[in-house]
Amino acid sequence: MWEKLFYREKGLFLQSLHPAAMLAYLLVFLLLCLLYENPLYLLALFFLLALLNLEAEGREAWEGFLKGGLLLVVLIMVVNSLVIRAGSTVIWSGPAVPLWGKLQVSLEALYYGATSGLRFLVLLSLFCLYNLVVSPDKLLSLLAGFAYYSVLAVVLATRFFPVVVRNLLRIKEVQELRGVDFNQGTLWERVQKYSSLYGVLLLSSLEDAMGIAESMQARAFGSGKRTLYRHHLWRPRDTICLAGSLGAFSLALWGWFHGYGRYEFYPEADVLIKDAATVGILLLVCLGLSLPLLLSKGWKRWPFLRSKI
Amino acid sequence: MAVSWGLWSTLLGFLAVCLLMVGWGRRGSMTSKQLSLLAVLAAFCAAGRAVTGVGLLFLQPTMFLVEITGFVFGARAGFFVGAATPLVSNFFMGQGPWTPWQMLSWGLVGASGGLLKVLFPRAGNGLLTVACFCWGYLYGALMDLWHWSVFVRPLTLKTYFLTWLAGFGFDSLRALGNLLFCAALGQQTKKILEYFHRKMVVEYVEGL
Amino acid sequence: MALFKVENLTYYYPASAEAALRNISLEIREGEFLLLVGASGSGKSTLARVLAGLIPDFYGGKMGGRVLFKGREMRTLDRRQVAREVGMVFQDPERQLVKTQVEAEVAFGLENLGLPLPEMRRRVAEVLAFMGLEPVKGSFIAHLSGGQKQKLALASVLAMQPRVLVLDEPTSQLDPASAEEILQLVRRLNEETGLTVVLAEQRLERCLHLADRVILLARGEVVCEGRPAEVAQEIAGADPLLLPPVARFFTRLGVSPVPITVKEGRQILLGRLRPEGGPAGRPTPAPTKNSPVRGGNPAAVEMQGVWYTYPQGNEALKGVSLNLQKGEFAVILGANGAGKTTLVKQMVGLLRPDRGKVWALGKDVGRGGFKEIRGRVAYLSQNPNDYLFQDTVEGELLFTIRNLGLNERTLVDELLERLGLLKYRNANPRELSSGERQRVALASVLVARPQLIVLDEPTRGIDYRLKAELGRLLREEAEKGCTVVVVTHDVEFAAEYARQVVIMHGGEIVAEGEKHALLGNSLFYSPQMARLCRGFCEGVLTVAEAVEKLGSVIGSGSVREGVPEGERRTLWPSHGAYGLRS
Repeated sequence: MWEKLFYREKGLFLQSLHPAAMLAYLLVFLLLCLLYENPLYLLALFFLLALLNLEAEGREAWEGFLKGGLLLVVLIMVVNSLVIRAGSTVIWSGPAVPLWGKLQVSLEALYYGATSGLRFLVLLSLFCLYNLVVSPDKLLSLLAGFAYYSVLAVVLATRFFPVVVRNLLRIKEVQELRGVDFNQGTLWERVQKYSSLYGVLLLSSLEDAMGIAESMQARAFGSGKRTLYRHHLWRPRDTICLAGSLGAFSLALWGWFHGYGRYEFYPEADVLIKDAATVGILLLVCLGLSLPLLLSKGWKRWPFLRSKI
Repeated sequence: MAVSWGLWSTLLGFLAVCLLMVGWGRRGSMTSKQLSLLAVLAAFCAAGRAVTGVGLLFLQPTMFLVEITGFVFGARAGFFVGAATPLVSNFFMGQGPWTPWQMLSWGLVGASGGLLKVLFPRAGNGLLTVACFCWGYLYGALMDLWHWSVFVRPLTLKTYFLTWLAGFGFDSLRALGNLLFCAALGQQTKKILEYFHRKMVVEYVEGL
Repeated sequence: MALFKVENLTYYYPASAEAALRNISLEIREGEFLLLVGASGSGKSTLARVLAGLIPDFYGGKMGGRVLFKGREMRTLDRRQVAREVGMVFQDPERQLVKTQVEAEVAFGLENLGLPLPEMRRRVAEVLAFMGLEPVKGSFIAHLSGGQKQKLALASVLAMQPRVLVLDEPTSQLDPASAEEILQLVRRLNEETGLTVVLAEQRLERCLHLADRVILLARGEVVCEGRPAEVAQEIAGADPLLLPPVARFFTRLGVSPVPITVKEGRQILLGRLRPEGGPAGRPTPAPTKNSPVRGGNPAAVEMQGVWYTYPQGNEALKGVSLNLQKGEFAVILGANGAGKTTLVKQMVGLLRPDRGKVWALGKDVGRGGFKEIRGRVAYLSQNPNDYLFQDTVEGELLFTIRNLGLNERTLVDELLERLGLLKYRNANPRELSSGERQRVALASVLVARPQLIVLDEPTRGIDYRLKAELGRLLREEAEKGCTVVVVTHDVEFAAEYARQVVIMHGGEIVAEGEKHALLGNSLFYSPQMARLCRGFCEGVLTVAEAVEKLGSVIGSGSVREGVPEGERRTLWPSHGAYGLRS
């Protein structure tokens, strides 16, 4: 259950990209999603990410992410629509609340809330994709050059995490049979029952830590200057994807400064499509961002393409 | 809205946490015992965060441990264990845009433990429990800062207050959990960590 | 020149008043395969750590005497140089892996040595190929099996290309197949590359014949050293249970030199006896799948067509039926993933069947019975540390009593006495040795006077003496009417102590029955003595049985002058407590 979202190597095209290229690509997505205010643009990003998540064989994980996010979306909408009084189209007017003023909900506020919710869903989809295609190993080995100790400690913690969980479940069983019923008693009593479980686990884990330290010591840890073992292939596909993301990003920035992708909700919402360029720029940005998706599809279908990229 | 606050707050979180982690990993050198002890503590906290007891109203026996780690091992170690906790558990539960801010907030919890030690070297479990209880709310307030900047417009004190209010239930639960766990387990945990803190220092070697 | 030269080494762990090593002097030659033998607490692990340079650097403590490596004092050597020349593999695979990914783990030591990238890549590739880890090189380490993890630990040490490989009980946590694989790899390295090997072990049946030289340690001192057969003779006098059954058998008959493998033993038997029956031996009656219920004793555990699938989706039990009577001592054998642990968890109510019925102590476990049997069943997991968290040993026992609402303080004293824990009553259980820890764990579940005791791999990683002690204790419990179920990989343990044997495979019970019928005629689930006597005398599982059946035939005349058992015991009064049962 706790491992459902852990990275799994499935031999996908998207997983074979160089971590730097992939991270640059995802970063562009992140920036655009936070930059854009126009619902149409956000919708396009969402659509693209949906396709990418499916391409990464992550339907289940993605649905899980979205389901988890829906509650927050509703919360965002409620907060926004209750708080904002800048909208001009009031659709509900409630009683006055002390210290707060009159409650009212405007169509624009609701609209803005929905857009914020959509932005949140885009973010979720983006990170779901990240979890599917970037392995922690690759990410951390990329960072190891900058901060050796922090990365090594995080790597060790990640490797030790499943051990702790497994020990936890086993010790819980052991204690259940020693007469500890974890599901009974008042809250305070239950917390106290956990204290025995907790103590065993903490002691065992820290003893393991001493053993690990010994093994590190025996393998010359901290014995002087060290080097880094890192090996990631850079293929033509990485160049293409990097070019695509950078191109899309530059174009998006240019568009942003010329007003494309911006959007005013208050006092009255803008029209969604101001001119043809609004759609044109969006299409071009999406094209740049969909290069990995297209390559992935082609890579699966044509052996010829496979050998070239 | 010319300035995209959501963008800046998220990027700021990323940057801050990267810089702090890089800074943490660069300074000085660490012995194998220090490194593995902190890593295992982080794994332990991450597991406590990921596998929470359903029978316990989803209370997490984690934040108080980060606080005590800071108290026993110092602010630097506390910060690392705190920051690594959400990072590691999110590798398994899913990373999200919230990870950097979570790392910062958790890191602060750990660092504050170190601060407490400096201010009150002889502090008992009572003070730590109070600190943990406060952190339950403070952590929520910090995370709300991010939620608010990304999803709420306009950015006024009033809207922030409302965002905070929306999360009040969760915050209270967290604070309650911290209070109960720290009260029940604090003493024992501190004893265990202090024992290993002593062990971490290489013993003096003498000849016969 | 000797590679290692140890002179008058004495060592005390920090804050310990008792020396872990006393006055040790020895030499290790280049290319040698040296075996360090001894019970737990004999100092073999400590000595291994001294050779690897971890003592005193990592542990601290007090040290006297000298350790020379290639003629230079070890303490004056640079730590990197020691790590480069001496590699060490530890007992527990979980406690020596650092990285998340296999390939990165192999490279870890190389990074620490500061090797250039091309050199690292060459070495990683080489080692992965040699160790057969190529298929899993990108895997997440937590997804590997225990055997694979230990292989990886060995690989990451080998990548550093040490001249000496020190191993501290590397197989004690593994199942027999993986253990064999590790030992064969070590043997190949020694033979094919001339690597010097120092192996600390206590399960000699797998490694005694591999060694060039054996050193027997006891209480931190060297008792004797020499070639395996010579030392076997000595060990037989000092501590016979330490020997593999074959060697024990022949020393009891006074044969010299002592054969140490089944093959050598059979050669001797062939020279003196004529095989009975045909070349394949007589077929023993095939065991029936469901043993007929013997009258009188009520069933303690009854399972009928039990199916169980884990939430993650693996089908662990497929229609298992089993009957165990009151007072039964049953052992469950089978490969990893055969469903052994799942089966016993059903018995104690930790899991409930998806389909089928489980009755334990007359209660229907699937229907709320699991609550009623709590306190009347005991479960000991693989790791005794799971039980220890109180400040005192007594506290552990009282914890169970309190939780189960019992009121039997008198039993505490009785149990502590019986398990030899009285003197540790107020000691912190975490400070005890591994064997003592296990006894405390056992005491903490036995204190509830259970009627059903289930143990999951209790012999893993423990000393042969403790194993014998545990076996005896469990047999006593069974005789008192308690039902005992043990999951294990240890066929010798089953042969010696159990009455009934259950063999599982792929979630099903493939054979079940009395141990002689079952273990006597299988090839791999058979103890050494059965293998030795196959064709000469069927149905022999233990040394005692073999002596009884064959001793008179071989013993008279053909045996060279051997000291009678009784007299030899008096020569070694201090070690006699665990002498052979005859």
